[in-house]
Amino acid sequence: MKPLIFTLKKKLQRRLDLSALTPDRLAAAQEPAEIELEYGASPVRAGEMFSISGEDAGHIELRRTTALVTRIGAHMTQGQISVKAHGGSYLGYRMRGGTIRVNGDCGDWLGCDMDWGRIDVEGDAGDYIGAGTRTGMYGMRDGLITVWGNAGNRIGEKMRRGMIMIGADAGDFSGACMVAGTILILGKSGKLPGYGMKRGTIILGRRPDRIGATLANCGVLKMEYLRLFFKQLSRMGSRYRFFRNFGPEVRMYTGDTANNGKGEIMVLLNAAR
Amino acid sequence: MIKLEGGRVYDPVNGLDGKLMDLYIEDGKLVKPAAGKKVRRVIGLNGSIVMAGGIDIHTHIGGGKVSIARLLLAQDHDDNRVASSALTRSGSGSIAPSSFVTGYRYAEMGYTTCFEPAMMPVNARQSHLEMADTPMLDTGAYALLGNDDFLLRLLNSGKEQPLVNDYVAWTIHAARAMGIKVVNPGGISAFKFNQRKLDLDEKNNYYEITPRNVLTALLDALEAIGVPHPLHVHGCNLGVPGNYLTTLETIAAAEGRPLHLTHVQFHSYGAEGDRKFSSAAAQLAEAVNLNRNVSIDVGQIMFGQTVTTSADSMMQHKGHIHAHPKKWVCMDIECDAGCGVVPFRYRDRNFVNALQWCIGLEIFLLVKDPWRIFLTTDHPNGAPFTSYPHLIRLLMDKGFRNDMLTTINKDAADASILSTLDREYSLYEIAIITRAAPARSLGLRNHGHLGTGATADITVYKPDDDAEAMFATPEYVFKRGELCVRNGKVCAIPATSTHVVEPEYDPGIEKPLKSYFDRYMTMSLENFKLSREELESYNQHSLLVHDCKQDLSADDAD
Repeated sequence: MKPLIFTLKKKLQRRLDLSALTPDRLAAAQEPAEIELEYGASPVRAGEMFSISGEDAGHIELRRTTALVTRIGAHMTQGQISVKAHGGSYLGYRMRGGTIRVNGDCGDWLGCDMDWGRIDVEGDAGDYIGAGTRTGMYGMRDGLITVWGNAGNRIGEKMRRGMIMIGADAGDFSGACMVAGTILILGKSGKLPGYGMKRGTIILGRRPDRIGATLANCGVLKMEYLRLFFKQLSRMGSRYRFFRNFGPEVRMYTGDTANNGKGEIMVLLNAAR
Repeated sequence: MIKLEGGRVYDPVNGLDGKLMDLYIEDGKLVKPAAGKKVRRVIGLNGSIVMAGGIDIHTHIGGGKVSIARLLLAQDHDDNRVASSALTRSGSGSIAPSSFVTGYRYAEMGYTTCFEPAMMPVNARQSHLEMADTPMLDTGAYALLGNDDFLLRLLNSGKEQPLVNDYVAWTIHAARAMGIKVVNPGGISAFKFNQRKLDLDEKNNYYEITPRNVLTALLDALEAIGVPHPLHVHGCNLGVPGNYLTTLETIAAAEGRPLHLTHVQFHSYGAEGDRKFSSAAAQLAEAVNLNRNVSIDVGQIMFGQTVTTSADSMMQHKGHIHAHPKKWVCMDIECDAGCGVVPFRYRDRNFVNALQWCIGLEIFLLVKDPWRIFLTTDHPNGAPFTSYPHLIRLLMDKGFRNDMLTTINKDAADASILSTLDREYSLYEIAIITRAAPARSLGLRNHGHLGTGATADITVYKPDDDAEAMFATPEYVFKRGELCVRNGKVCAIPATSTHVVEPEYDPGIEKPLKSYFDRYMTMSLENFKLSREELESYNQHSLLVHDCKQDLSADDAD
């Protein structure tokens, strides 16, 4: 069956909330064009903003979206969403299952507060990937976020479980205040990764610009479990095959001791692709 | 002139108990039909139930602590977003909703007037601005005194009562308030001197005065300056098992002077039984029945997520360990009083919470005189105000109440006498506890009833066996004669006003206040005071000034 395709036909002036366009909500809806969306602070029908074709409500495709869209796939529990253009902010907000694939870039708060599911972004993403809401206790609780481009600051802030992988560079304060989980940054990372971290693992492909004074340098170690970890990753698809070349030798930092933390930052010494 | 034809009118002030009659509205007032006047519009009510607009005497809808509660419950606001329409503005939230949503939701339930009970005088400007942005509702507020250093200094230095009277009257003026509330008298101040509890006769470490001194001074002051609403008391030891003794002592401390005890459910706990927590609703209700100077509002709890907001930082600090979700705020406000915000979830399977639910209902059913008990949930402390229809059904429907009783914690249900109470509120009594009695207690002469000359705040309910459904979606709501809600949906935004009283005082009080302000306060005396003009400039608000020293004894024949 052909996926249900929504093509944006208007130039957005305000923020357009797409949280209603999920497989769950569409399965329950009679007519996709009649679904109510939030445009700014007022309601608008989906049919006014999008031209709609296709029929498979379990697989939704969004085209020509811009950075002003928000909350794609929010609260979704199943199915697939493919975004062929910009993913906007709060993509996968509090999602509990299913898959979102974005061909373009994404804004801030990607996978914010997510519980489970998978998000794949081909382009770049903004700040606060997999973080919690401003007043939330925790960030992402589980799931997998992959960004093949660059990422902004504070990825995985307060994250609780799950994994975030950044294919290229990341900004400052990666894994700030993280409680647990795994962050993998293959390119450069900015200042102070693991700032205030409690537990969890941050794996860096290259030495960061600056590492916090309260993260204790434990020297060079050979972490045998990384072999298993990379082997598992390399089986995730042909794109992941380069993980086979990665070795288990790392420079290890633990902390953040300022927060009585027992987290670990591992800078890979043998990570040639 | 608008004619409301054939409604069953429940108007306890005028003794109408479901009388089938017509009402006439002109210029926002209820009038007698006169021969020369033309009826512009006739609305047929077909025997629907007509009451005055609801009056909530105690609901936290404005001021700094509500803003903090909204911040702490960001998730609730995120999950409950309300889009704007051609008529209404956008907003969010269900537990401590944004000001606009608060106004719409109240009006959609048939309420037309609400009173913010804990307005810090120093925050009065912000509170009034926020309430001016609460549409559909007339508002008013009680100024918070009793923990401010100026008053405690006056008492500590043994100054004469007239000075206290002037200060209280001046504060009501400066803050444009409707009355005075005292929260944990002297206790919030004591908390700042590291005392973690303060009984009625326990001394504040620094000022060496007791809550009883503060209460007495304020009770005397309000009586002297003639403010119609009695002192609004949130007593000592809120939420502490065994605190009903303190509450009974507080009633005795009033010595016959008028006293309003607020959210008494939180003050009616015994310390008996295996878990050292029991209901003292019977003792409290007995005291209320005996002391005709005492009025109460209940502060009923309902199960579910809510947030407790109070100026009582002493007790909120004590309760922070129960915060759900685990985050809370306790702060001092300009050294005048405190503020504690603790999100909380009442669970029906929890013994204490279930018993709290029972205690509230027991108080409702055991207090005999409906004119001295008001329906509140202490929004949002016990439950959001949107649970009022459910609460009304619990009061009106014994079968429903007993069904609910079987779903809660069994030990609590067994410990409670609720199942033995057969009383069911009638519509007449509901009209008293939600409209007539609060209006009388506050001294609102033209509100809360449907007599000739009264403000045409009218709510029309479609009769329904399910009281919850009936009170949740009124058929019509009129605000000052303007139809503003139709079938539970807002259809017009009426102009609103602020209720205030303006007791007399000797302007000489400003002399000591000026030096106090210059020395200690963050703003000057002139900026502290809210003028009539300033208040009226907020959203084109009008002021409704109520008389002081009115002869209340004439109303007392119930």
